[in-house]
Amino acid sequence: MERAEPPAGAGIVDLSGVPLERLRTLDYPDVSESLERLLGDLDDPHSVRAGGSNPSHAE
Amino acid sequence: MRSDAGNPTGVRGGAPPDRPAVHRLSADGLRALLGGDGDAGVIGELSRAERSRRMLLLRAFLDRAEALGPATSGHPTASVTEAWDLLVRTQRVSPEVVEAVLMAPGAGTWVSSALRRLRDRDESLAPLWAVTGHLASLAATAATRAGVDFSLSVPAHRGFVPLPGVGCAVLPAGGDWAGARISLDGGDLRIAGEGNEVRVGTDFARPSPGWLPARRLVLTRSGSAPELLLDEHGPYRTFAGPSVPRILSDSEALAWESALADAWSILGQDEPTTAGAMGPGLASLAPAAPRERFRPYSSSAGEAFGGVNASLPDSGAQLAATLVHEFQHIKLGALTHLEPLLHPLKPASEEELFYAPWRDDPRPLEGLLQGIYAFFGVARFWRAHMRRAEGGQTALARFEFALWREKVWSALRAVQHQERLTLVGGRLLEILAAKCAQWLDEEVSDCELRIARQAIADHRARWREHHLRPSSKAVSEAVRAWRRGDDSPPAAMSEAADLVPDRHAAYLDTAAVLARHRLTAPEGDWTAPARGAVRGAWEADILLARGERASAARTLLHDARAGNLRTGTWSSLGLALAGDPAMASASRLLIHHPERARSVYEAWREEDGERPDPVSLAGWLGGADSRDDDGWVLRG
Repeated sequence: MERAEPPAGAGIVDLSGVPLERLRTLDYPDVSESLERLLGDLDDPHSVRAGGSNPSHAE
Repeated sequence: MRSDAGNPTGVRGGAPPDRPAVHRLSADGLRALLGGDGDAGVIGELSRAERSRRMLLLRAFLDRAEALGPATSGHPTASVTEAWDLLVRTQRVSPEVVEAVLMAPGAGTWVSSALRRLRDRDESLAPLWAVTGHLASLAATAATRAGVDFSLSVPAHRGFVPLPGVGCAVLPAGGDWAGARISLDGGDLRIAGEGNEVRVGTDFARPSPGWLPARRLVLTRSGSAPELLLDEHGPYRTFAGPSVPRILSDSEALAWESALADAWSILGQDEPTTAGAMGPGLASLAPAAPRERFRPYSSSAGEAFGGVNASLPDSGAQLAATLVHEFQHIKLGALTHLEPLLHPLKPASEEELFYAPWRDDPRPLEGLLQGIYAFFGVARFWRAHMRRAEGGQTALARFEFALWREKVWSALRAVQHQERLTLVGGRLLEILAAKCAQWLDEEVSDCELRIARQAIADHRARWREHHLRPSSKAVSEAVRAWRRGDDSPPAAMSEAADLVPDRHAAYLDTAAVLARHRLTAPEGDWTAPARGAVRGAWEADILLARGERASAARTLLHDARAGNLRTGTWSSLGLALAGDPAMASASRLLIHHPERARSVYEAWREEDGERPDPVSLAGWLGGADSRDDDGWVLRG
């Protein structure tokens, strides 16, 4: 298995205490970078489900 | 949680002014999680990071919905902006309520799936306005709980209008999707559809015509009383969706209440740290339809922190194990958001698949790591529980511990040197392996140990028979060698097999399920094949579970000689012949490499239309190579 790029590491910007009314206007590089990583995660099929189900038992 | 950041945006902390902080786990928190543990404090760290992640996803959703404009508004529901404004207004009054609504597991599934939908990565059958309109449902839920007056249109699905965590109105279904108007005026809640209105009143917890209140269970335990939502209504409760509610009958609800009380009591004694962490970490359980005995269903999702989907269990102990299992998934999902365990594959790389001792299908490395972590917790639970279990449950608990410690150990060994592992991923496997190695040295009574090992061998052999194939060159050489009467098969037959996933593989856990029946009800319904108590179990499987190997062998050989060789027969035959010294070579081959016998047999039959004797063929194939060779490669 060929090793790919190293992982980005922790990349969730800390939005503790940020009220909803300010969320739409936050405009900082870390926010943009976090968003880009998250959107990339959304496209990764392994991020969608991390379940404990066995398909033959899902019925 | 270390949050060393500045505050240019209102973000708390003390980081440089040019950037907000990023979430980092504390050293103690990371150490606990890498060991499969984690108390309420660790869950608090993960929750805070998940909260920021959820806010970022909401921001991305708002940006995308705004960019699309009319495509997401002008339909039977409020616009995204109207819904968001109500959430903002409600947060000023009751930030805790808004926090709880937006951090609910279903809200996590929704925002992720809505974003995928807005980015054309999701093919949900629901109309786009119904997906984006769920924000209005969340806003209405928050405002209702906070007592903020409002009037807002939300999606109704086949007449159901859910306010997740509060309740669900039931209107006459006016088609698959429609709009419904929810209003709160002076605490009085009303939900109106076309020509109909449900008047809930001011007591949302009281059932009324057209109104089904949410069920919340208080899990009592000494010193704490966490509350769990029994989620029947949330459209995104099953980690897909949107789906219509699954309303519990009163008897089902009582059964859940009883099972959860039993499970919580057991966890409090056997897994007190986990139980303490579940208090703040487990938010809701979505009841799924009951399943076959000893085959419970459960799932969780990395996007839905704190949510579990589970079928009604057979016992409190089984539910306790299920909750531990899913909570391990929840913890690892949140950890992975902060500390990746694997390097990503390069775009053109082919994904490698592995044997997972708990699955019917070959699994990618990501899934296998999740399984290792989850079943490590399950083994830990049964290890503690077997010391307290009583009556027939004692043997079952011993069996479960013996089963899971060895399955986890074999999976750990298979992946511990994978190059894709990050430093954190490698460290996690090292720590789990060290603990698991200690468990392997612990004594389990011979009977349960033997039964567990037979179930492990059966699963592994069945999996190989379904998913592995020797190369076509090796098979045709073997057929020629057999026809010539060679003393031994060709060397090529000992080479690594190809992985050819069989999507029809199912119920590979049959031996383990039968073992559980045997340990708890030796003469129960499961012993009669015609009753079909265990799906996937044939007569020979039941005979094997009863320890009647000779009878099982006769049954299998009778079937084989009649040409009734279904997938799984070869591995069962290997186990049935075990213990007969005259059949040692055939048995060993069929337990370790049933795919070889199956492939050569089928090729021979295809070429000549004749059927070689299964035992003779297996004995001949086993004579050349008795190694337990687990090597195989993926066939693209």
